[in-house]
Amino acid sequence: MTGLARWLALPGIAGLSLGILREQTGLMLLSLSLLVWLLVEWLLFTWRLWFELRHLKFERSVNGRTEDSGILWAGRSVAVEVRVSSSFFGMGSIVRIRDVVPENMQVLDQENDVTIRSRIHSAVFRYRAIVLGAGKLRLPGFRIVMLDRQGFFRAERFIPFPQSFRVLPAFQKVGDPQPLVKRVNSQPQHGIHRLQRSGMGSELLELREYAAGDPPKSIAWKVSARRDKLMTRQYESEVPVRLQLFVDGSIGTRTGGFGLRLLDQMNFVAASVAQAAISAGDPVGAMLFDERGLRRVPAATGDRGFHRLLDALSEFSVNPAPIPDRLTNRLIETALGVAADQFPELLDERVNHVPFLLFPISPWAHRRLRERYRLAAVIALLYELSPAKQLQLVSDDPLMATYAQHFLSQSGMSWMEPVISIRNRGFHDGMARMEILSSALARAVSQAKDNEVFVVFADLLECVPSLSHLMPAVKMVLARHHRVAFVCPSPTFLRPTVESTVIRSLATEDLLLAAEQIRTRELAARLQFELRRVGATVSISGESSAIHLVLGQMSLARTGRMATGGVR
Amino acid sequence: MNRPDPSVVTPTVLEPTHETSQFGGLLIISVLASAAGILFLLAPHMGWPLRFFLTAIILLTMKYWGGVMVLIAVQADLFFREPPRSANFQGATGLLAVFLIVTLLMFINRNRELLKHAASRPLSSIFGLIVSAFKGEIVFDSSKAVRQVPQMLGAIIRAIALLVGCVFVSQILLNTLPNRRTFNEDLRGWMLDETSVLQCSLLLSGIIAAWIVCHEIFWRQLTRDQSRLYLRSVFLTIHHADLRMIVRGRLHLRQKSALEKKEREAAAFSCRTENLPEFRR
Repeated sequence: MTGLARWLALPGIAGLSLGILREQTGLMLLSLSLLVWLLVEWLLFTWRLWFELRHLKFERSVNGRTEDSGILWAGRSVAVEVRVSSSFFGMGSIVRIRDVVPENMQVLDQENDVTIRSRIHSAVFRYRAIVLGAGKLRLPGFRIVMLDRQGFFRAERFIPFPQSFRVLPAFQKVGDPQPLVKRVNSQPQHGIHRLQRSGMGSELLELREYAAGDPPKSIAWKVSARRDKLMTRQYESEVPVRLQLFVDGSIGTRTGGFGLRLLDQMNFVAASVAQAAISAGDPVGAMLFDERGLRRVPAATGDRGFHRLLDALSEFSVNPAPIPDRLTNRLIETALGVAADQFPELLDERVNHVPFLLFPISPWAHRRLRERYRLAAVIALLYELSPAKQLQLVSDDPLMATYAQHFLSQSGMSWMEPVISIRNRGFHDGMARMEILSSALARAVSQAKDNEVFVVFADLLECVPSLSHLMPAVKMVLARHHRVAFVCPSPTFLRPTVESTVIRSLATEDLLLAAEQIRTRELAARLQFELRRVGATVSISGESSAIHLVLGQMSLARTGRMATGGVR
Repeated sequence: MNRPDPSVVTPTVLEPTHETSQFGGLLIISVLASAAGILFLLAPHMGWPLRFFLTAIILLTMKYWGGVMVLIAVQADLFFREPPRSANFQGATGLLAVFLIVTLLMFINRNRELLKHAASRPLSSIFGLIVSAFKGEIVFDSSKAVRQVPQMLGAIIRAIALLVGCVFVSQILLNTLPNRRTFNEDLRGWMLDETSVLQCSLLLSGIIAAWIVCHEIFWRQLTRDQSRLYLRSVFLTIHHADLRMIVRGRLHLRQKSALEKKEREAAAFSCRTENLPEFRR
């Protein structure tokens, strides 16, 4: 019953009582008619709720497919079509249907929220949406709001219709995979490139004096005749250029909304670079690391290898269970909002009782506590917790924060602050990240062949003071003649150039953006100085310039020239 | 599976939530006019400026309150002006009057969304709408309008039938149930006459049966999760004090052990420093 019906029933009851007392027939008849009308409307509404909702059937197709699971791409639009069908008697008015979309999906042109105003048996509605970030996407079902014509009664239900999708990261096709300009005498096979080291290739590397044991066919007779001593031809090696990606997935890279996370920037550059490399025939592998540890994706080539890498990046982008320390009102409110969206019937006061509470006296604090009781009941029901644990959720802030965050994460919401409450602890200060990145580099070097390109995607801007811990690993990589490129995503999605630090206007957003850019620029300058000093290349911000920088390193590696830090 | 052809589905059946009806403007004007008309009929002894002022106030509240204020106004008028035991509302005229008032309430409440929509616009646009309606300048999408007319007619007929039934049932109830005048006589009759005891018990049984039916309807509507949650809530409400004591005890113990651990570590550190040679401190 809505407030409107209550406010109509109240004068109805009062009028009936007064009419009986004063024996006023008109007042009595009017008031009683009103009450009877309300009762009849309630009965009709109850029948509709009981009968029509039971026979409501949904069928959803995403990009023309109705399977329970599938694959989507980040940054691409998705066409969703929903078919609604009901019983022989049809659905009466008014029914609001909303296809609940997770935070990772943004509805574009049409509406995912429709209203049925007249009796129908079946209907179709369509909408388009865009997927924002890589990871997993789950369309949970439909939220139904049934109302009677007058707005006296209202019922909210959620009809589960789950469909899960793996969202692969977006990528950009860049450059010419196989240059047509001939730069070498003999074109090596696809994926094989020159390396300026002595080997069995076809390009001449150098001439040297004959040494015992050299094959006679390698003797350069004309040169030997000119110099009057035996000279031997040395040929270059022909090796594949392997690309090794190191992707940082620590907490700092996962916060923010889907599509705005630093991890999304890194995924985009990594996938674009991998696509370019694989189309040129080069094998691509990856090392994915975060608080959970290190995961290695073996180097592979071809379409299958590319998709395996994308799958690994997609799985890696799914947020792991966070460890929140502090419970905030915003966290509670968001969890309540999601619960109201996906489990409206569980927040009904008639089934979700709150025990009598005298304290706190303040009405706002009292209301917040009652809401927390309700949320605790919903969470306890969903996760099958004991009643004692349910009550503990009300009193124990860290426990509530953990469950609320987990509930939001499972419902398709991105992480919310505070994920980590204080700095200088664990992964946040960069020490742990440097250590795990160093060990990943060391492991990659130990398993590496000749002529590899290491691309490190990590949020190093916040870790500049602890960069010295990473330097030995970088130096070791360069000493083994590999190339190293660092791609550090920018929190503002802008390259920290001089132009980007200019204050555009005195609006708060522009001032904050300029301040953030100035800070990023200072950090980036220090980072670039430190890394370029040892011979690594650095790109700040995960945009197309970063892709071109990595591809530049790849082309240098393909020409066979040694890395800067290397010695022939 | 025999799927319905989507092309058959009319585009107006599923419409975005914010979209309004073709006849929205006309409906708003009719609601306002009929409500103002009935309000002007009330309290004829009051001066015109006061009536005009009260009518305007009540019309302004319709956006949020629907027909509540109109009902209260009509009830207040009946309360002050209707003489006791009057025969004015006994016959068909009385039934018709009540029917019209309840119909007006239904009309207002059904179009509350339209009123809200209209109220969100500036006042000039509403006046402009009224002027254009009088000039006949309101443009209709004829195909949409043609589709909506039969639906609206059907809804009107259903509503009239429902309200007529309600008013008749109310009239029958009023005639059947004892009123204040006949209450003592009826009660005496029931007490003396044995058959009346049966009537009384029947009435009581009817009330209990209706109460059980209402509860049964509520229980039948619950989903499995709702039932589980209800049981859980009831259990928690009954054992709330005990469980809260247990939980608080656990939390207190945890805090205490954490504090003790911290103190132990601090004490161990101080012992270590105290045992060191003096020059190292």
